[in-house]
Amino acid sequence: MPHRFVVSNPEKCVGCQLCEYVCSAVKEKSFNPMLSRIRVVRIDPVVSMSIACRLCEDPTCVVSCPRKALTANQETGVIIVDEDKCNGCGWCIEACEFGAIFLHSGKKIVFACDLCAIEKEPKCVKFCPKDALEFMTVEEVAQKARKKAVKKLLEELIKS
Amino acid sequence: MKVVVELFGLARYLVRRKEIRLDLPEDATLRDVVARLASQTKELIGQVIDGKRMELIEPYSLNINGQYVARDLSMKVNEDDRILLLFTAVGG
Amino acid sequence: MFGYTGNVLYVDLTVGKSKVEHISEELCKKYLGGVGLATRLLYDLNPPNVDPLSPDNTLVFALGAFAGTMVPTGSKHGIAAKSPLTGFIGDSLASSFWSQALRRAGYDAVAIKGRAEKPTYLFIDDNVVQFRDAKHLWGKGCLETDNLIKEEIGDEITSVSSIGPAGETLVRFACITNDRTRQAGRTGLGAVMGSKNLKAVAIRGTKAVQVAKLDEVMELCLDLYEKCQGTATEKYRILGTPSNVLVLNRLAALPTKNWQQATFEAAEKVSGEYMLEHYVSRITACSSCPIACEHICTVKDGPYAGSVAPIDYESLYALGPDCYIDYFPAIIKAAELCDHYGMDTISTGGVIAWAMECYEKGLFHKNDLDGLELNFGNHEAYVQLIHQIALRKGIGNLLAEGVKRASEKLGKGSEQFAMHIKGLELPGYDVRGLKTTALGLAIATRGGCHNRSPSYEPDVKGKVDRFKAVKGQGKLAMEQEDFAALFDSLILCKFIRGVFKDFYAEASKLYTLTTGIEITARELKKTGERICNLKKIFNIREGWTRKDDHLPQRVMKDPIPFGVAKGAFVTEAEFDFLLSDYYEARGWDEHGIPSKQKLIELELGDLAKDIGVR
Repeated sequence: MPHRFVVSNPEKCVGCQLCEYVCSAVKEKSFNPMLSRIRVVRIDPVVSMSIACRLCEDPTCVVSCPRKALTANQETGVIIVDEDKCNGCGWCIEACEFGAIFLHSGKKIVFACDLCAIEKEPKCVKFCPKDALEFMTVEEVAQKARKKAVKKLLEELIKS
Repeated sequence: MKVVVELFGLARYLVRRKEIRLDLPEDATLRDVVARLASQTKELIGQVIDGKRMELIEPYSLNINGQYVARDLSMKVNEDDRILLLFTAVGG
Repeated sequence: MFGYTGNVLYVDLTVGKSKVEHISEELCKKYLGGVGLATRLLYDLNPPNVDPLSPDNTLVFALGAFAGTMVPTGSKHGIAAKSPLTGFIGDSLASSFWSQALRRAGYDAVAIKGRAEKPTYLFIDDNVVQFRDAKHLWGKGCLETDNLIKEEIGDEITSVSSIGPAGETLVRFACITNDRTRQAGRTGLGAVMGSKNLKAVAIRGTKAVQVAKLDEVMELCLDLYEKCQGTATEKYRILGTPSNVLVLNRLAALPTKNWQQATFEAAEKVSGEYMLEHYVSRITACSSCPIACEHICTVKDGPYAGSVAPIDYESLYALGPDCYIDYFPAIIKAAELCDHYGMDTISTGGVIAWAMECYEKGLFHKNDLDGLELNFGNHEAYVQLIHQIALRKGIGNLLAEGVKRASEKLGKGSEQFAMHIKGLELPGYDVRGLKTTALGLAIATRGGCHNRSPSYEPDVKGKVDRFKAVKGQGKLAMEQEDFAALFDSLILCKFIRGVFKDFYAEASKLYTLTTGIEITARELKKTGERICNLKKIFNIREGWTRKDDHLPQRVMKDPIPFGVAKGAFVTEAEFDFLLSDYYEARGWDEHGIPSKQKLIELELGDLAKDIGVR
C-alpha cells in the first residue's frame, strides 16, 4: 500500500511557520516549534519549504537503530518508537537524510510525524494558509509534476 | 453617454487593461456601471465585484474624477466622467 | 499566566548586570503589550528630560500578547525610548522570529539602560543572559551581523536584533533590524542602541508557550487564516503596499520632488504594478503570518544588478517620487543600502529630497558636496549620498541629523521646505488634499507618522470631503489613533484589520482565550484611548506644547500646483480649527493638556502631578 505523507510546495510556501505551531499544539497542547513534527527551512531570500517524515519505503532510521527501537507501520509507513528501547542516542537522527526525526527535549526519546494518528488527517495540511502542504503518495506527486510539465509544454506549443 | 472606468492594482492585473470605456444610457447610475463591468469583465467577479448583489466588495469603492467617493451606487453618472475603481485601504 | 510569562528582563549595560522582575496581570491588561507596555515601562524608568543619546535613556522592547503563538500576525514587538530625532516618545514596531524567540526565552519585555564600556552584544539564552564582546561586529552591516552572530552561537533558532553602521555613528534616524529584513524603522531607536555601545540582542528561546483555551484559539485562528486569503487583504498579498503609488498619484496625493508636486509624471514606472511585473522575485511572510506581504525585489541587470531588497510603499515613495527618482533599480539599491546600514528609509529619502531642493536652489557650496550633483532625479548622486549619511562623511554629517536640525543649521530659508512634523520626516500622503490626514500627522505623538493615526482612511474612503476642514474630523483622527494604538499594543498587524467584522468583540475574545485575562470589547476600546493619553503625558513631561502639533510650512503656503487636487493646501485657520476639534474630542483643554477627570477615567490619575494637572 503506497504511503501517504505531507508534501510541501516551495512555490507556495511563504515560510510563516504556522505549520510548526499547529503541529506542536495538536501533539503537545502548547506552542513550541522545537516539538513540531514538521519543520520549515527558510533560505532567505530565495526559498522556503517544510519537511516532515517522508515515510521512506526502506527507512534508514529503522535500519540504523542499534537497539532496534524503531519500526515502520506496515500499512502507513509511520515510524513507531519503542519508548522502552529508545535511549536517545540520536543515531537515527544522523542517518535521516531529511532531518525529519528529532529528539524530544521532555521525553528524551525520538519522535517523527505520525500523520496526526489520532486525528486521522494531518492538521498542518488543513491549517496551512497558502495551501502549500498536501497529503500525497509519491505516485500522486509524480502525476502532479507530469501534468504541470505537459501544461507548460503545451503552452509553448500554443504560443508558437 | 460615455464614461471611462480606470483600473488599478488587482483589477488591472485581472483584466489586463488600465481603463475600460463604457457606453451607457443617458440616465445611467453607478449601479449600471458595476453591472456593465460585471458583464464585460467577468474576471472581476468574486474578488472585486459581488456578482449576485451587483455591488463592489469591501473595501473597493468608486471615486468620481478623483474628487469624491460615491456614497452609494444610485448616484447618476455624467458624460465623460472618469470613474476610479479603487481599493480604498491605503497605508503601508 | 497564559500567553504572557510575567517576566521583564532589566539590563544595566554600565555594570554589565541583568535581573528579572515580575509584572502583574493587571499591568498586562492595562497596557496589553507592545507600544502600550513599552511606553509605560519607559515612563517609569526614565527621569524627565534625559539626553536621548545618554546612558540615562532606557530602550524598552515589549512583546504583544500573542507573540509565540499561532495567532495570525501576532509575532511582533514594540520598542520605545526617548527619540534622538524628535525629543519626544520614540516608538516603533517590528515583526517575525525575534518576537517569538523572546517569549520562548521566557520574557514579555526587556528594558535596557546605561552604556557598555565597549561594543557589546547581549545573548539571551533562555534564563542565561550573557554580555558578549562585539568588537568584531562593530562596523558590520545588519545582514552580516545576523550571519556572524548565528555562526558564533551555533544554533539556527537564534534570532538577532541589531544596529548597522548608521546606529553606531548615531545617525538620528538609524533603525533596529531583526531577522535580516524586518525593521523597527522610525524615530532613531538605532541611534539610542548605538549610544549604548549595544550592537545586538541575540535570543535563543526554547520554552513552550501556553494559552488558556487552546482548542478555541485554534478554531478562531483557522477561520482567520481563511479570511486572510480574501479580498480584505488582497492588496497586501498581491502587489503589496506599493499599490498605493498609482492610487495616490491619481488622487494627486503622491508627494513628489520634496512635496513641490502631488503627482509624479513617471508614477507608472515606480508603481506596484510595474514592480510586480519586473522586479518581484519572491513574496514571504513574517513568522505566524498567513497574509505574506513582504515583496522581495531583485535587480537583474544594469548598474545596480544584484541588488535585493523588500519594497514597501513608504520606502518606495521616499526613495522614489520624493527624490524624483524614476529608475526602479535605483530605488531597490537605495533600500538595500538603508537595510545594510540600518537607517529609516522614509527619513533617508525625506532628508535627501530636502537636500536636493537645497542644491537646486544653490543653498549649498560646491565644496560642501565633494562634487556631488545633487539634482532631483540623479540616482547616482543619491546612492553616493546614502553611504555618506550612514557614515557621517562630508555633507552626510549634516543630513544624518535629520531634516529638522539640518534645515535649522543651514538656514537660508531651507526650513520652509523641511518636510517634517516634530522632526520626523513625512510619509507619502500629500495632506494638502487630505485634510483629516493632515490633522492625523500633526497630532501623532511620535511625529509625522501615518501609522499612529491612520487618518487617511476617512479621507480616501470618502467618509469626509478630503478637501475640507469640518467639525468631526477631530473625532475621526482620535478614533483612528485609538484604533492604531490597540493594534500596536495587542499586537496585531494593521494589515489584518479588514478581516474583522466587529473588531473590538473579536479581538477581546481572542485576547481572553489566549491569555485567560477577561477583557470586554468596551474595556479594550478604552485601552486604546489610555495608551494614546499615556504617550501624550510622556510628551508633555518632555516639554511638548500645542506649538509642537504643527504642519510644515510648505503644506500651509504652497498649494498643490496641478492634478485633481490643484490649488489645495491647509490654511492656518483650518489647521487651528482641526487641532482644537481634536483636543475637544479627546477631552483635553485648548492647550492640549488632558483634564484631571479624563486621566482618572483612564486610570492614569497618578500621573496628573507629573504634568501639573490638578
